[in-house]
Amino acid sequence: VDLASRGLIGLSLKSMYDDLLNQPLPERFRDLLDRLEGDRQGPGDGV
Amino acid sequence: MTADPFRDALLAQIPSLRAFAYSLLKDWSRADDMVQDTIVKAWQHRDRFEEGTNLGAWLFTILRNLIYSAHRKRAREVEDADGSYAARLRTHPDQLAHLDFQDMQEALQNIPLDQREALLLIGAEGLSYEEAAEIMGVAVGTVKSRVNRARNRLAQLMGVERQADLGPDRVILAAVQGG
Repeated sequence: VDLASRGLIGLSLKSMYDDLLNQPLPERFRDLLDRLEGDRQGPGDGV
Repeated sequence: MTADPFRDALLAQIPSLRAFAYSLLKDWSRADDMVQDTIVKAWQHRDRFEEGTNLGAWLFTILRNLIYSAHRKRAREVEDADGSYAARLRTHPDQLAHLDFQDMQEALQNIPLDQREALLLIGAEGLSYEEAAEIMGVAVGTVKSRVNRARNRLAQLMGVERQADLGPDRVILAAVQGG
C-alpha cells in the first residue's frame, strides 16, 4: 500500500470514528452510574 | 460533575468505549451491552485502579476482553465463510466516492479482529503503540505488524491501492498518517 493510499485510509477511518464519538450518549449509561453510585452509598448515605 | 471523580472519569470515557465497541461489532445494541458490562466491572473493581494511571487504557483492556469472550462464542455467526461480503466490497466502482462511513464500517468487519482492534486503537483512538500493546497484551512489534496488515487489507477491500496515481500532496498525507 503506498503512502497516498495509507493517507486516504487514515483520513476515512478517523472521520468514521469521529462520527461515532459524537453520537449522543444513551441515558442508560447515566442511569447505570446513578444506580452504581446509589448502591455504593447505601440506602441511608445518599440523603 | 459529581462528588465522585471516578464516576466522572468513567462517564467521560463512555463515548470512546462505545465508538471502539461499535467499530468492532457493528451493532449498537451489542456494543452498548459490552460497554455497560465494562462499566459494571470497572466499578466493582475500582479499588484496583490506581489514581493517576491511565483509566482509558484500563477500561479498554476490560472492554476488549469482554468482546473477545463474546466473539469466541459467536465466531461462526461473524465469519464470512465464502468471502462474498469481501467480494461485494471489492466490486465498488468510483473508489474515492465510496470511502464513506458505511464502506469503512463494512470493510473493517472483514479484517481479522486482532488487526481491527490494533488499527482502531492506533489509527482512530490515537493511542501510542506502547499503550495499545498493553491493552492487547502483546509486544509493540506485534501491534505494528497488525496495524500494517490491517491497513493493507483495508486498502485491498476498499480498492485504494493505487490512489497515489491521483497525485495528492505527500507532505499533507504524511502529516495525517501519524506513524
